[in-house]
Amino acid sequence: MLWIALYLPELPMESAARGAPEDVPLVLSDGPVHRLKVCAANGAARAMGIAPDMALAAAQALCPAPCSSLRVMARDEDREQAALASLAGWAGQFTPTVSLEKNGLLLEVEASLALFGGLMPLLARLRRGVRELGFSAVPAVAPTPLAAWWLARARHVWPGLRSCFDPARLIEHLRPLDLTVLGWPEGSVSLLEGLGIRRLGACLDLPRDGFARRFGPELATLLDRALGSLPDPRPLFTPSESFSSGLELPAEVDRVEALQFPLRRLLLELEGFLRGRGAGVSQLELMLGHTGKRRTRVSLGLAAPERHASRLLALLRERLNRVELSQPVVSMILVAEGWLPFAAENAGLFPDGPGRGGRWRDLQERLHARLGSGRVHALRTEADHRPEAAWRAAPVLDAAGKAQTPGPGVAAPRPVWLLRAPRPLPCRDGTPDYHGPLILLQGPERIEAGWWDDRPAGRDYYVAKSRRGELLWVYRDHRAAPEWYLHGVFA
Amino acid sequence: MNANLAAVLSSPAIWRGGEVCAPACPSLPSGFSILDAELPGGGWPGNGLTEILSDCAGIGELSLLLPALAGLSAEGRGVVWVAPPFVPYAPALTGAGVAPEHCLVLAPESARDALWGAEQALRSGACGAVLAWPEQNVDYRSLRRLQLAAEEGGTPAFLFRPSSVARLPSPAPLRLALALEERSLMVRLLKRRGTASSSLLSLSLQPQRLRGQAPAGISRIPTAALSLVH
Repeated sequence: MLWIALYLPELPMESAARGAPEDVPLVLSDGPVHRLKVCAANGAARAMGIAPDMALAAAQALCPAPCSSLRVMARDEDREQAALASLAGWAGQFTPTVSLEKNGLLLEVEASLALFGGLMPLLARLRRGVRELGFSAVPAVAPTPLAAWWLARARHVWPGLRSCFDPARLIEHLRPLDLTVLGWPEGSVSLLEGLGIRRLGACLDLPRDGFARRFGPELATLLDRALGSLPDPRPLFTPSESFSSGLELPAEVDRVEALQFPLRRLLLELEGFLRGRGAGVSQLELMLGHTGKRRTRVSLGLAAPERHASRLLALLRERLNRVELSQPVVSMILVAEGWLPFAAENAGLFPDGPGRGGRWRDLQERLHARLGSGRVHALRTEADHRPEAAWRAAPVLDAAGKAQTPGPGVAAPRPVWLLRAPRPLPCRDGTPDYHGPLILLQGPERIEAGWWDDRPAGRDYYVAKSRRGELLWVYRDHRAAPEWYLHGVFA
Repeated sequence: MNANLAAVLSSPAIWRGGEVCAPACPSLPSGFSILDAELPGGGWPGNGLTEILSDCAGIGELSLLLPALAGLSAEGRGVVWVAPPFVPYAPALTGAGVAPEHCLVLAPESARDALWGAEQALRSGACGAVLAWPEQNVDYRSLRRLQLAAEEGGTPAFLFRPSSVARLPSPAPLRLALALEERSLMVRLLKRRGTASSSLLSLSLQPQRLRGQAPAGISRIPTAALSLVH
């Protein structure tokens, strides 16, 4: 067993500030209403001299008075847990064994090493991915989950600590850890400190039964679990059936372009989630929340299942460009459900982008996303004698995969243009009239079909020439009046 | 002519006024040898606009392109139809050798969307050809954008416009006017790269288009006297 612990020390701030680049000073407030305290401050706020545990009023006083640019958000533990859960869903692409800790994740990765090319490439991918989602994680590796978690917490304070890969040497790695950073109960830690015990090593040297009597069996169990002498079963994180992730924007946004940055983070989260399931989506919903309870709903339908964040972002951008924002946006939620199997494409051998087939696919997707699904279609032939039923508008990216149904094999000419609906022609002296009387060149071709459904046709088709020289495809309906119709143009 | 002069004249750097110049860009054979002989490069421009001006649908404006489209289809390349006036009829396309599954038909809501779609398709270089029916009052700037997109993507574009715009300037390197005379399609080259052409080409399309015969076994001849005119 090999566990990677990801400790997220800045989770409260990052879960709140994920929607914006870090250039706006932002603090989180916590505590009773009449005595609010700063519980976390981002880089820009710290640069102004704001530190955690400061009174909120003092923090506001530190900001330049004319335009108090300091943004204050209330700390929200639910939001933190939701962010952690979505991060766990994203991490499902690396291993199915993901377990939540307070402010962190534990991943069991031994079985995934071969797939990701070893521990170091996997760690590098994890770090980069977590950073792209807007979090900063301190990773540590150890053979037991608790040891990994303690190492990660300790590494946050002493970044020089090494990870441990060898179960036999685990105890050496744990001995120098300071007891104050492990998240133990305050009382126990100060009691141990009173005895002169500051390091985990000294703790491990104490007789275990006496330690259990003095400090409670829970701490003794923790020690045994960290060393691997007791099993450490953990509840596994179960990703939800549908994807829904949102974030609040620290500042109101009234331009669509400014939504791209937070949107990309949500899409990266979705990509990780979908990778974990080997799936793609063909339908996305983006809810843009405005002040008050109003929402703008933007939905994106895809012609084929997709999961790449960059492609989805490009498509959503096309879609968003057509949305008029009536009010500034303060939050956004991305919802996706209905997984479809996703066939991953092989990357090209040469770095010259997708081949012609890929570009054709991308073009169809882009046109489909911008113009709407009803306005882009491919063509298919159908085995039917009725001209209007012998073709069909096929959804894009669908037609290419399926073989065409061959038509009934007619020797008679067919026009390249078909009218959407046959157009009745006036008739003079038994001759149809279209900008003057028509001359029938060829025909008739009898089409008598459709008795099996509710659109029966009994028609005699002719090729006709108009006075202007156009070649037309007209028919005489011998079932209903008016008799003559224009149905196609030989262009 | 003396040998030295002939050597000079055969140099590719020398261009003589009377020649149809051969542009550097690849071209798309039109399938009509007398037309290819008049077109610079021996075919439709492979990366630019071709304007086809005609006043009514039904005189053979698409039949003019079908051989070229069939060639693209055989290579597995797609054709994008932007805002066509009627439904491109799949069985007829199949009959002409154009694979319907390689056709993408756009029916945009507005003229702006149509131009956007045509430009995207041209710029992507992903399709074999773009056929577009722009609005009558499409401005020079939009056409220029399309021309640049076609050059960038290396894709031919065919714009179908009414003949009234023949007098307006256009960035298209090739403009044709179509007219019907008796049974043949008359093509006049209004503009091409190199020298102007004054010749009027006559292409006979009808026999191909009407080569099928009426099926046998017609049950009832209509009452009106419908003589088959040839």
